[in-house]
Amino acid sequence: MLSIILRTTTMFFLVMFALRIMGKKNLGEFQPSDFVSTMLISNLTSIVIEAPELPILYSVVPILLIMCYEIFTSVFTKKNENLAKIAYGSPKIIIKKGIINQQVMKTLRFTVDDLLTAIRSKDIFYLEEVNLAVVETNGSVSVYPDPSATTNIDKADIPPFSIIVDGKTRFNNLSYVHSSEEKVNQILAKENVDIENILLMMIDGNGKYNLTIKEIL
Amino acid sequence: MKNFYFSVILFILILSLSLFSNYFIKTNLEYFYNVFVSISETQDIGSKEIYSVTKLKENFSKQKNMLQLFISKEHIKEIETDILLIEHYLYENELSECKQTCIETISVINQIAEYISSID
Repeated sequence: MLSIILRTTTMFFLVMFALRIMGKKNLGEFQPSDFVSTMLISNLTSIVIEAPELPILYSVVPILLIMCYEIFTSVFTKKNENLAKIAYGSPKIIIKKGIINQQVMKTLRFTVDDLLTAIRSKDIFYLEEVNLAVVETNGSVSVYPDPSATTNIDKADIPPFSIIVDGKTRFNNLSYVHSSEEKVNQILAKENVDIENILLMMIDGNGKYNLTIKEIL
Repeated sequence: MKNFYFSVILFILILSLSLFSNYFIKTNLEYFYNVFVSISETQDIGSKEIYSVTKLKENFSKQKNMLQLFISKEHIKEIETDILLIEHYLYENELSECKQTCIETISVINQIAEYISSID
């Protein structure tokens, strides 16, 4: 029992020390290398606590080594931009002036729902309101709203709901925006487009719709 | 940058420690291995065999604490028990049991050697 107490105490202070040396960023925003090191450290810590028959060095050495690699990575990527691109990737513009970049969406394996959730978390409900949306290297989405669009858009009391997403209907959302399947079919006929070819169709409380056609990639 | 230099020093330290530990374990295991092989191949129990096991026991107890840093306690305990058993069998003149225990210990040593040397 005493051995487990000593081991846990040692590992606790060692991990605290490693995270402190690696920098506070490890606790919040995860870059790939931050994530890998934090995940590995947590697993390595548990090994010697759970298995008292193993020498404590089996965990201590790998943790210190990972800490060194993490610092090396951050220093070298800071000095060399190409290395930083390889290690962390680069930010990608996913929406420009309200238009979704489907190529980037495919590359990043982003779904329409991921994108809409990210935008809504910035209190933006209309795609037209987005001047620029950028997927950062840590996976978060930064949104720069279009100042002119914010005032020019005739916003409804009920925000737009997604009715067709990636060629699949979500007609249960129609009741929220006081619309019907008939109206949707009318819009599709007017636009001369099939449901399967639609990436995103949104309708707001005023019946105003936004249609994004699937691109052939 | 202070952290960077610190980690460079630490990295070099870890590398040197690992080289040292590898050398230390290998030398010790080789010594144990040779003694056990020579006993397992012997046809007669003589003072030479008893002396080599007594010497091995002494060495092992000296190195035990250091070895425990790199090898699991289970393996250390296994080798320690086997040395005591071999010593007992040698004094009791029980050659076949002695050889059997030596072979078992050799297999433990081989297992440890495999752990520390293989990276697959």
